[in-house]
Amino acid sequence: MTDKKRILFVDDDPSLLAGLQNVLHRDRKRWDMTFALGGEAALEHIGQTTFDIVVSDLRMPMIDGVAVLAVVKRRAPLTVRVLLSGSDCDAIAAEVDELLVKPCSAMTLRATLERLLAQPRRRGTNGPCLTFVSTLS
Amino acid sequence: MRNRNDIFADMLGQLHRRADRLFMWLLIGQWVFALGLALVIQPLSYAIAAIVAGGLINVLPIALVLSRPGWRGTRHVIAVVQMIWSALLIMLTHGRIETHFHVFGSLALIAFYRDWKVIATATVVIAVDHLARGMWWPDSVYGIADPEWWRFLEHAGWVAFEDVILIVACVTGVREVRAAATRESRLERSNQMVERHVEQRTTQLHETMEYYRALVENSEVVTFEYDHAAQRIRYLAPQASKLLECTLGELDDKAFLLGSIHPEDKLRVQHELAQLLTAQRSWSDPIDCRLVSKGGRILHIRTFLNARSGSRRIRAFTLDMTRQRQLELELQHSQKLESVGRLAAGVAHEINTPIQFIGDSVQFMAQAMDDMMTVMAKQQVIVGAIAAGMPSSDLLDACLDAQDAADAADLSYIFEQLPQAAERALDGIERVGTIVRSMKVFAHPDKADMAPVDLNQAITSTLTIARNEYRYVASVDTELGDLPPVTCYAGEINQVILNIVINAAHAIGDIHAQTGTRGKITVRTAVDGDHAVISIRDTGGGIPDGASNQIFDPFFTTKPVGKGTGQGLAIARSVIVDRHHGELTFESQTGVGTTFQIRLPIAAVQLTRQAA
Repeated sequence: MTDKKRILFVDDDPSLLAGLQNVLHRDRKRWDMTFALGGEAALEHIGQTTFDIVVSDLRMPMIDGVAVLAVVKRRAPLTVRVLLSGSDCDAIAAEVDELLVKPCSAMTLRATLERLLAQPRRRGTNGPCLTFVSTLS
Repeated sequence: MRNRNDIFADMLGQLHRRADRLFMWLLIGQWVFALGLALVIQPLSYAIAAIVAGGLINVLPIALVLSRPGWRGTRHVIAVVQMIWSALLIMLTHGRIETHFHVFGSLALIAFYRDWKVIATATVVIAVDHLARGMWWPDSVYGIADPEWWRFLEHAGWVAFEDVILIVACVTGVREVRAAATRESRLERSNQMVERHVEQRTTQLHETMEYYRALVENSEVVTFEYDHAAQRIRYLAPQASKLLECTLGELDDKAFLLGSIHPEDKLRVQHELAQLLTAQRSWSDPIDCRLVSKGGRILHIRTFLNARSGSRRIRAFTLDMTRQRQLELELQHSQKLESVGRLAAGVAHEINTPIQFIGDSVQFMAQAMDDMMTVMAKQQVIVGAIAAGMPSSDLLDACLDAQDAADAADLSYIFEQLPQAAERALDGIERVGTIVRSMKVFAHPDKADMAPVDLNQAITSTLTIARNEYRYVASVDTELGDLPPVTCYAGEINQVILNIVINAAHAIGDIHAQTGTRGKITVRTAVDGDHAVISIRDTGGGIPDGASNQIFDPFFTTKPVGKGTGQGLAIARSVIVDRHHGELTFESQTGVGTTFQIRLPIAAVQLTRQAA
């Protein structure tokens, strides 16, 4: 259990989270996945646990993805920050490591998460490493 | 121009010619008289003398009267001959003293010439005659053979007496003629001056008329005047023929002109005209309508009418607004494209989320089905093995195999999640469907005609597709009352609602960016008399005081460059007020928010200003 990678998914739509949970259920043995509904819930989790990856929606009421990822960056700089968003223009501002554009297939999502987890941790590097993943490839 | 000397000469000449003719007839008359006399007088030599000498002496003067009337010589010859006639008649009557009166009468007639020289000539002739005959043949002059030697002096004295009177009369007469000539000349001169003045004034009048005609007829504005009492067009500037693509002659044809008004606008134009005539207001609101030119071109015109109260004439100016109308439409269209473009991005975002979880859910269902089929296949093996009476050790292996597959598939999770995933997928499809349907309702393939529309549905659809504009900064409350179908241009009304909702979202967004508090947009509909009322309230920052009387102006915007074109509310106003004869008002309070209110006539509005 201790080897399991921790991934946090953040979105303001429960259906979207439920869909992700369903489709990633088969990865439950290797990944410890948390699903947070909205920015506030996400911040609560972030305060308690250090995640390997945080995948967040961009536009959310009250606390949006940019704010969530900014907190992640401050508290856990080693955490890989991924945006899963409908639009792709605000990625730079959020200083994210990866951008996934909705709609994004389960295969692409899984492959991206696997690739990000396999990368050596970039201790001490602050610069964002932006890789745009083409959707539904 | 004749001077007074010319006129004087003319008048005298006329006088002379008249006297010439008078004497011609007198000479002929005297000869006829002499012919009569010849029948009764003795001796025969006298009768012959009367006929022959009387005829001969007449020849020269009559010839001169006919060939050179008015000539000075003519009247002297006449004077000489007339005196010879006096002498002849005195002789024929054997010197009867009464015949001498012929001399006095002739002199008086000669005075008609107003020429004392002619009187002098005549006097000399008769004096010579009396002197000569008095000397050698006295009884032919005086009727007696031995008159006193001074008898001729007595005759000459009477003649001189008459001459003095006649000469005075002649001189006076000439003076009068001269005065008359002067008067005549003055009259002619003043007549001429008056004529010249009239001519000048007429020219000036023409020039002035041409000036104003050029002003009126060289402009793009078509001026006309209509006499509504006589139902007659009194003036119509000829440029109208260019607009209507007709001949100038056809402009006089009232039926043709009325026929060129677009059939759909005719009733409304009549109605507005009647209103103007009863309104007692000199300048009306402009009347807009469409014309159909002879070539079938549709023109949009705007007419300003001026009917002074009490006057039966309406003066009017008509402007061709076709190009402006086209530009307006283009502007409206581009604004629509702009908002549709923004909406497309927003709607894509709205659709992305459901598509994402529909995809995930279906993917999960497919995986689950796969896993379940694997487990079921293994369970089939067990069922087959039991039926075939397989040894129990093999059966146990098969059971463990099936159990492993079931564990791997996490069947309990699948059983729990499968119905939810299916429901979620269907729900997502419904969400996408709603958005797509709203797009269709919103875009409303712009019908040319008005149609009854469910405004509540239109509002719901518009809010759905605008959701992405407000959902992160505001919640939307709708309080939609029962509305009858409202006859309107649905696409345009949707556009107006969208523009106002987006403005509300932006206003709230500005507050949200500063304070992080979520706002609220409240949309209400209600019926008020024969109007439908839509009010859209936001909790934004309000309209700045300085901007409130400009917000409906085209190109006015308080938004940063690139965020607003300043067309939204201008077009909203044009759509509601001009196209639907409705009202668009707002109330705004700084820091509290803004409420826009749209009032639309419910009934089929026949009299909309379509051609605006």
